[in-house]
Amino acid sequence: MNIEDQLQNLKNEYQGTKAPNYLIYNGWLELKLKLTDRKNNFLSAYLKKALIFAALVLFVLATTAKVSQAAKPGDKLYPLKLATENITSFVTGDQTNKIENRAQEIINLTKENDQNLDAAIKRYEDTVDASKDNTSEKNRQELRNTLHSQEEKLKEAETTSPEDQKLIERALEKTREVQGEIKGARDSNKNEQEGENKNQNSSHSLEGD
Amino acid sequence: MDDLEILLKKAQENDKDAFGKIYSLFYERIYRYCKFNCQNQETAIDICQDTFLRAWKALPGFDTTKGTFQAFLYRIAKNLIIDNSRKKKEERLDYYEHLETKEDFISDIDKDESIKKLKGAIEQLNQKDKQIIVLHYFEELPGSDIAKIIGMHEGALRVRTHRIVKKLKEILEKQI
Repeated sequence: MNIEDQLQNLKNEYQGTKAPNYLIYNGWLELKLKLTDRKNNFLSAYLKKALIFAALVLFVLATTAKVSQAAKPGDKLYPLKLATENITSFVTGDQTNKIENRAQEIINLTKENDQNLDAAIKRYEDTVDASKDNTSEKNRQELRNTLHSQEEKLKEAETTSPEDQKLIERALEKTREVQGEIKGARDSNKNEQEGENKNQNSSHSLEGD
Repeated sequence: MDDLEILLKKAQENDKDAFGKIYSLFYERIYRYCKFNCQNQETAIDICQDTFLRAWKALPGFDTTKGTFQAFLYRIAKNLIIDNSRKKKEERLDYYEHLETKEDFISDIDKDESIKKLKGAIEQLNQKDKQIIVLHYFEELPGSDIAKIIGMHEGALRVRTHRIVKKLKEILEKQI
Protein backbone atom coordinates (compact mmCIF):
# COMPACT_ATOMS: atom_id res chain seq x y z
CA MET A 1 0.00 0.00 0.00
CA ASN A 2 1.47 3.34 -0.97
CA ILE A 3 1.72 6.32 1.37
CA GLU A 4 -1.12 8.23 -0.28
CA ASP A 5 -3.50 5.33 0.34
CA GLN A 6 -2.31 4.99 3.90
CA LEU A 7 -2.90 8.72 4.47
CA GLN A 8 -6.37 8.36 2.95
CA ASN A 9 -7.18 5.52 5.38
CA LEU A 10 -5.96 7.52 8.35
CA LYS A 11 -7.97 10.50 7.12
CA ASN A 12 -11.13 8.38 7.15
CA GLU A 13 -10.41 7.34 10.70
CA TYR A 14 -9.53 10.92 11.69
CA GLN A 15 -12.71 12.36 10.20
CA GLY A 16 -14.72 9.67 11.91
CA THR A 17 -13.69 11.02 15.31
CA LYS A 18 -16.82 12.20 17.09
CA ALA A 19 -16.97 14.75 19.86
CA PRO A 20 -17.74 13.22 23.27
CA ASN A 21 -21.22 13.70 24.71
CA TYR A 22 -19.90 16.03 27.35
CA LEU A 23 -18.79 18.49 24.66
CA ILE A 24 -21.98 18.05 22.61
CA TYR A 25 -24.36 18.73 25.51
CA ASN A 26 -22.35 20.88 27.91
CA GLY A 27 -19.57 22.40 25.83
CA TRP A 28 -21.28 25.64 24.91
CA LEU A 29 -23.03 26.05 28.28
CA GLU A 30 -19.73 25.68 30.11
CA LEU A 31 -17.97 28.03 27.71
CA LYS A 32 -20.70 30.68 27.82
CA LEU A 33 -20.23 31.03 31.58
CA LYS A 34 -16.56 31.73 31.04
CA LEU A 35 -17.03 34.38 28.34
CA THR A 36 -16.33 37.74 29.90
CA ASP A 37 -18.16 40.87 28.87
CA ARG A 38 -15.77 42.28 26.35
CA LYS A 39 -16.91 45.89 26.09
CA ASN A 40 -14.55 47.16 28.79
CA ASN A 41 -11.73 44.91 27.60
CA PHE A 42 -12.29 46.20 24.08
CA LEU A 43 -11.93 49.82 25.24
CA SER A 44 -8.97 49.14 27.46
CA ALA A 45 -7.25 47.25 24.63
CA TYR A 46 -7.60 50.33 22.42
CA LEU A 47 -6.48 52.59 25.24
CA LYS A 48 -3.44 50.39 25.78
CA LYS A 49 -2.58 50.51 22.08
CA ALA A 50 -3.03 54.30 22.02
CA LEU A 51 -0.78 54.72 25.08
CA ILE A 52 1.90 52.48 23.62
CA PHE A 53 1.72 54.38 20.35
CA ALA A 54 1.94 57.76 22.13
CA ALA A 55 4.93 56.54 24.17
CA LEU A 56 6.65 55.34 20.99
CA VAL A 57 6.02 58.65 19.21
CA LEU A 58 7.37 60.56 22.23
CA PHE A 59 10.42 58.31 22.37
CA VAL A 60 11.14 58.79 18.66
CA LEU A 61 10.64 62.56 18.92
CA ALA A 62 12.83 62.86 22.01
CA THR A 63 15.58 60.74 20.44
CA THR A 64 15.49 62.71 17.19
CA ALA A 65 15.54 66.02 19.09
CA LYS A 66 18.49 64.80 21.16
CA VAL A 67 20.38 63.63 18.06
CA SER A 68 19.58 66.89 16.26
CA GLN A 69 21.49 68.85 18.94
CA ALA A 70 24.72 67.72 17.28
CA ALA A 71 23.57 68.89 13.82
CA LYS A 72 25.60 71.51 11.97
CA PRO A 73 24.25 74.21 9.61
CA GLY A 74 23.39 72.50 6.32
CA ASP A 75 22.57 69.17 7.97
CA LYS A 76 19.11 67.65 7.49
CA LEU A 77 18.40 67.73 11.23
CA TYR A 78 19.57 71.32 11.65
CA PRO A 79 16.07 72.89 11.28
CA LEU A 80 14.89 70.52 14.03
CA LYS A 81 17.72 71.72 16.25
CA LEU A 82 16.59 75.34 15.72
CA ALA A 83 12.96 74.41 16.39
CA THR A 84 13.90 72.61 19.63
CA GLU A 85 15.90 75.64 20.76
CA ASN A 86 13.01 77.97 19.96
CA ILE A 87 10.64 75.86 22.03
CA THR A 88 13.10 75.72 24.95
CA SER A 89 13.76 79.46 24.89
CA PHE A 90 10.02 80.17 24.63
CA VAL A 91 9.30 78.01 27.67
CA THR A 92 12.23 79.18 29.82
CA GLY A 93 12.40 82.78 28.53
CA ASP A 94 16.17 82.35 28.21
CA GLN A 95 17.63 83.60 24.90
CA THR A 96 21.30 83.29 25.84
CA ASN A 97 21.56 79.60 24.98
CA LYS A 98 20.53 80.31 21.37
CA ILE A 99 23.11 83.10 21.03
CA GLU A 100 25.86 80.91 22.47
CA ASN A 101 24.99 78.07 20.09
CA ARG A 102 24.94 80.34 16.99
CA ALA A 103 28.29 81.90 17.98
CA GLN A 104 29.78 78.46 18.56
CA GLU A 105 28.59 77.38 15.12
CA ILE A 106 30.42 80.35 13.55
CA ILE A 107 33.61 79.40 15.41
CA ASN A 108 33.31 75.73 14.35
CA LEU A 109 32.65 76.65 10.71
CA THR A 110 35.69 78.95 10.55
CA LYS A 111 37.81 76.03 11.75
CA GLU A 112 36.37 73.77 9.04
CA ASN A 113 36.42 76.41 6.23
CA ASP A 114 32.76 75.61 5.67
CA GLN A 115 30.75 77.32 2.93
CA ASN A 116 27.83 77.76 5.29
CA LEU A 117 29.67 80.44 7.27
CA ASP A 118 27.90 83.36 5.60
CA ALA A 119 24.48 81.85 6.34
CA ALA A 120 25.57 81.07 9.91
CA ILE A 121 26.58 84.70 10.50
CA LYS A 122 23.25 85.91 9.11
CA ARG A 123 21.51 83.51 11.50
CA TYR A 124 23.62 84.78 14.41
CA GLU A 125 22.69 88.39 13.55
CA ASP A 126 18.99 87.53 13.41
CA THR A 127 19.18 85.60 16.71
CA VAL A 128 20.92 88.47 18.48
CA ASP A 129 18.41 90.98 17.08
CA ALA A 130 15.45 88.85 18.12
CA SER A 131 16.85 88.17 21.58
CA LYS A 132 16.98 91.91 22.28
CA ASP A 133 13.21 92.11 21.77
CA ASN A 134 12.38 88.81 23.46
CA THR A 135 14.33 89.37 26.67
CA SER A 136 12.61 90.87 29.68
CA GLU A 137 14.04 93.89 31.52
CA LYS A 138 15.09 91.60 34.34
CA ASN A 139 17.27 89.41 32.10
CA ARG A 140 18.85 92.19 30.05
CA GLN A 141 22.03 92.26 32.12
CA GLU A 142 22.48 88.52 31.64
CA LEU A 143 21.97 88.99 27.89
CA ARG A 144 24.58 91.72 27.84
CA ASN A 145 27.06 89.49 29.69
CA THR A 146 26.41 86.70 27.18
CA LEU A 147 26.95 89.04 24.26
CA HIS A 148 30.14 90.27 25.85
CA SER A 149 31.54 86.76 26.21
CA GLN A 150 30.54 85.93 22.60
CA GLU A 151 32.35 89.06 21.46
CA GLU A 152 35.52 87.75 23.11
CA LYS A 153 35.14 84.33 21.51
CA LEU A 154 34.49 85.80 18.05
CA LYS A 155 37.53 88.07 18.37
CA GLU A 156 39.63 84.99 19.11
CA ALA A 157 38.16 83.24 16.06
CA GLU A 158 39.02 86.28 13.96
CA THR A 159 42.69 85.98 14.92
CA THR A 160 42.85 82.24 14.27
CA SER A 161 41.03 82.49 10.91
CA PRO A 162 42.13 85.78 9.31
CA GLU A 163 40.61 84.73 5.92
CA ASP A 164 37.15 84.94 7.50
CA GLN A 165 37.86 88.27 9.20
CA LYS A 166 35.38 90.25 7.09
CA LEU A 167 32.52 87.90 7.81
CA ILE A 168 33.28 87.57 11.53
CA GLU A 169 33.50 91.36 11.77
CA ARG A 170 29.82 91.50 10.75
CA ALA A 171 28.91 89.28 13.68
CA LEU A 172 31.07 91.37 16.01
CA GLU A 173 29.43 94.59 14.85
CA LYS A 174 25.98 93.21 15.52
CA THR A 175 27.11 92.01 18.97
CA ARG A 176 28.45 95.43 19.87
CA GLU A 177 25.41 97.19 18.41
CA VAL A 178 22.96 95.21 20.53
CA GLN A 179 25.14 95.53 23.62
CA GLY A 180 25.10 99.29 23.04
CA GLU A 181 21.34 99.32 22.57
CA ILE A 182 20.82 97.40 25.82
CA LYS A 183 23.19 99.74 27.64
CA GLY A 184 21.53 102.81 26.08
CA ALA A 185 18.09 101.61 27.03
CA ARG A 186 19.25 100.88 30.55
CA ASP A 187 20.89 104.33 30.86
CA SER A 188 17.80 106.14 29.56
CA ASN A 189 15.66 104.15 32.02
CA LYS A 190 18.05 105.14 34.77
CA ASN A 191 17.93 108.82 33.72
CA GLU A 192 14.15 108.73 33.55
CA GLN A 193 13.99 107.26 37.03
CA GLU A 194 16.47 109.83 38.38
CA GLY A 195 14.42 112.60 36.74
CA GLU A 196 11.25 111.29 38.34
CA ASN A 197 12.98 111.14 41.74
CA LYS A 198 14.21 114.72 41.33
CA ASN A 199 10.73 115.94 40.42
CA GLN A 200 9.29 114.17 43.44
CA ASN A 201 11.94 115.72 45.72
CA SER A 202 11.35 119.23 44.34
CA SER A 203 7.58 118.94 44.75
CA HIS A 204 8.11 117.77 48.34
CA SER A 205 10.34 120.82 49.04
CA LEU A 206 7.76 123.17 47.50
CA GLU A 207 5.05 121.67 49.71
CA GLY A 208 7.39 122.20 52.71
CA ASP A 209 7.81 125.88 51.80
CA MET B 1 -21.86 38.89 3.36
CA ASP B 2 -22.36 35.17 4.18
CA ASP B 3 -23.88 33.74 7.39
CA LEU B 4 -20.55 33.22 9.10
CA GLU B 5 -19.48 36.77 8.39
CA ILE B 6 -22.73 38.09 9.88
CA LEU B 7 -22.25 35.92 12.97
CA LEU B 8 -18.65 37.06 13.30
CA LYS B 9 -19.64 40.70 13.07
CA LYS B 10 -22.24 40.20 15.80
CA ALA B 11 -19.79 38.26 17.97
CA GLN B 12 -17.23 41.02 17.55
CA GLU B 13 -19.87 43.36 18.94
CA ASN B 14 -20.16 41.22 22.08
CA ASP B 15 -23.09 39.02 20.98
CA LYS B 16 -22.54 35.77 22.89
CA ASP B 17 -25.41 33.93 21.19
CA ALA B 18 -23.86 34.60 17.79
CA PHE B 19 -20.60 33.21 19.14
CA GLY B 20 -22.56 30.18 20.33
CA LYS B 21 -23.65 29.53 16.74
CA ILE B 22 -20.05 29.86 15.57
CA TYR B 23 -19.04 27.41 18.30
CA SER B 24 -21.60 24.87 17.08
CA LEU B 25 -20.19 25.17 13.54
CA PHE B 26 -16.59 24.50 14.53
CA TYR B 27 -16.32 22.70 17.87
CA GLU B 28 -16.37 19.18 16.42
CA ARG B 29 -13.57 19.88 13.95
CA ILE B 30 -11.46 21.65 16.56
CA TYR B 31 -12.04 18.79 18.99
CA ARG B 32 -10.93 16.06 16.56
CA TYR B 33 -7.87 18.15 15.66
CA CYS B 34 -7.00 18.42 19.36
CA LYS B 35 -7.78 14.77 19.98
CA PHE B 36 -5.48 13.57 17.21
CA ASN B 37 -2.66 15.75 18.52
CA CYS B 38 -3.11 15.02 22.24
CA GLN B 39 -4.40 11.43 22.15
CA ASN B 40 -6.22 12.17 25.38
CA GLN B 41 -9.90 12.99 25.53
CA GLU B 42 -9.78 15.17 28.64
CA THR B 43 -6.88 17.25 27.34
CA ALA B 44 -8.53 17.54 23.92
CA ILE B 45 -11.75 18.86 25.50
CA ASP B 46 -9.79 21.37 27.60
CA ILE B 47 -7.77 22.64 24.63
CA CYS B 48 -10.88 22.80 22.45
CA GLN B 49 -12.73 24.91 25.03
CA ASP B 50 -9.67 27.08 25.63
CA THR B 51 -9.37 27.66 21.87
CA PHE B 52 -12.87 29.16 21.75
CA LEU B 53 -12.28 31.15 24.93
CA ARG B 54 -9.18 32.74 23.43
CA ALA B 55 -10.92 33.26 20.10
CA TRP B 56 -13.67 35.18 21.92
CA LYS B 57 -11.11 37.45 23.60
CA ALA B 58 -9.14 38.02 20.40
CA LEU B 59 -12.18 38.38 18.13
CA PRO B 60 -12.29 42.23 18.12
CA GLY B 61 -8.83 42.20 16.55
CA PHE B 62 -9.77 39.59 13.92
CA ASP B 63 -9.84 40.99 10.39
CA THR B 64 -11.59 38.95 7.67
CA THR B 65 -9.44 40.57 4.99
CA LYS B 66 -6.30 39.11 6.55
CA GLY B 67 -7.40 35.47 6.65
CA THR B 68 -10.30 33.12 7.21
CA PHE B 69 -11.90 32.51 10.58
CA GLN B 70 -11.07 28.79 10.43
CA ALA B 71 -7.38 29.66 9.96
CA PHE B 72 -7.67 32.01 12.95
CA LEU B 73 -9.25 29.25 15.05
CA TYR B 74 -6.84 26.47 14.03
CA ARG B 75 -3.89 28.77 14.68
CA ILE B 76 -5.04 29.30 18.27
CA ALA B 77 -5.62 25.55 18.69
CA LYS B 78 -2.21 24.72 17.19
CA ASN B 79 -0.46 27.11 19.60
CA LEU B 80 -2.30 25.61 22.57
CA ILE B 81 -1.42 22.08 21.43
CA ILE B 82 2.25 23.00 21.13
CA ASP B 83 2.20 24.70 24.55
CA ASN B 84 0.59 21.61 26.01
CA SER B 85 3.08 19.23 24.42
CA ARG B 86 5.97 21.32 25.79
CA LYS B 87 4.48 21.25 29.27
CA LYS B 88 3.79 17.56 29.18
CA LYS B 89 6.77 16.06 27.43
CA GLU B 90 6.83 13.31 29.98
CA GLU B 91 3.24 12.47 29.17
CA ARG B 92 4.19 12.22 25.51
CA LEU B 93 6.66 9.51 26.45
CA ASP B 94 3.82 7.79 28.25
CA TYR B 95 1.85 8.06 25.04
CA TYR B 96 4.28 5.84 23.13
CA GLU B 97 3.88 3.27 25.86
CA HIS B 98 0.16 3.86 25.81
CA LEU B 99 0.11 3.00 22.09
CA GLU B 100 1.16 -0.46 22.98
CA THR B 101 -1.57 -1.07 25.57
CA LYS B 102 -3.77 -4.06 25.08
CA GLU B 103 -6.93 -2.07 24.37
CA ASP B 104 -5.34 -0.01 21.60
CA PHE B 105 -3.55 -2.97 20.23
CA ILE B 106 -6.78 -4.90 19.72
CA SER B 107 -8.61 -1.95 18.19
CA ASP B 108 -5.68 -1.24 15.88
CA ILE B 109 -5.69 -4.81 14.63
CA ASP B 110 -9.35 -4.42 13.98
CA LYS B 111 -8.83 -1.27 11.97
CA ASP B 112 -5.66 -1.56 10.05
CA GLU B 113 -2.08 -2.34 10.87
CA SER B 114 -0.91 0.20 8.31
CA ILE B 115 -2.87 3.00 10.02
CA LYS B 116 -1.16 2.17 13.28
CA LYS B 117 2.24 2.30 11.64
CA LEU B 118 1.44 5.58 9.93
CA LYS B 119 0.26 7.09 13.22
CA GLY B 120 3.54 6.04 14.79
CA ALA B 121 5.47 7.59 11.89
CA ILE B 122 3.54 10.87 12.19
CA GLU B 123 4.30 10.92 15.91
CA GLN B 124 8.00 10.85 15.06
CA LEU B 125 7.72 14.09 13.07
CA ASN B 126 8.36 17.44 14.73
CA GLN B 127 5.34 19.49 15.79
CA LYS B 128 5.36 21.76 12.72
CA ASP B 129 5.54 18.89 10.22
CA LYS B 130 2.89 16.96 12.10
CA GLN B 131 0.52 19.95 11.95
CA ILE B 132 1.12 20.35 8.21
CA ILE B 133 0.18 16.71 7.57
CA VAL B 134 -2.93 16.89 9.75
CA LEU B 135 -4.15 20.18 8.32
CA HIS B 136 -3.37 19.26 4.70
CA TYR B 137 -4.42 15.60 4.49
CA PHE B 138 -6.97 15.17 7.29
CA GLU B 139 -8.57 18.58 7.72
CA GLU B 140 -8.15 19.32 3.99
CA LEU B 141 -7.70 23.03 4.58
CA PRO B 142 -6.65 25.21 1.64
CA GLY B 143 -2.93 25.97 1.34
CA SER B 144 -3.47 29.66 2.06
CA ASP B 145 -5.09 28.80 5.43
CA ILE B 146 -2.40 26.29 6.40
CA ALA B 147 0.29 28.83 5.49
CA LYS B 148 -1.36 31.32 7.87
CA ILE B 149 -1.76 28.78 10.68
CA ILE B 150 1.81 27.51 10.45
CA GLY B 151 3.35 30.89 9.61
CA MET B 152 4.96 30.06 6.24
CA HIS B 153 4.70 31.20 2.64
CA GLU B 154 2.45 29.04 0.47
CA GLY B 155 5.27 28.12 -1.91
CA ALA B 156 7.54 27.00 0.91
CA LEU B 157 4.64 25.05 2.40
CA ARG B 158 4.14 23.05 -0.82
CA VAL B 159 7.82 22.11 -0.90
CA ARG B 160 7.80 21.20 2.78
CA THR B 161 4.68 19.04 2.41
CA HIS B 162 6.43 16.97 -0.29
CA ARG B 163 9.48 16.57 1.92
CA ILE B 164 7.39 15.47 4.90
CA VAL B 165 5.61 12.82 2.85
CA LYS B 166 9.01 11.60 1.64
CA LYS B 167 10.21 11.50 5.23
CA LEU B 168 7.12 9.53 6.28
CA LYS B 169 7.84 6.99 3.53
CA GLU B 170 11.37 6.59 4.79
CA ILE B 171 10.20 6.07 8.36
CA LEU B 172 7.67 3.46 7.23
CA GLU B 173 10.24 1.68 5.06
CA LYS B 174 12.62 1.46 8.01
CA GLN B 175 9.86 -0.20 10.04
CA ILE B 176 9.55 -2.91 7.38
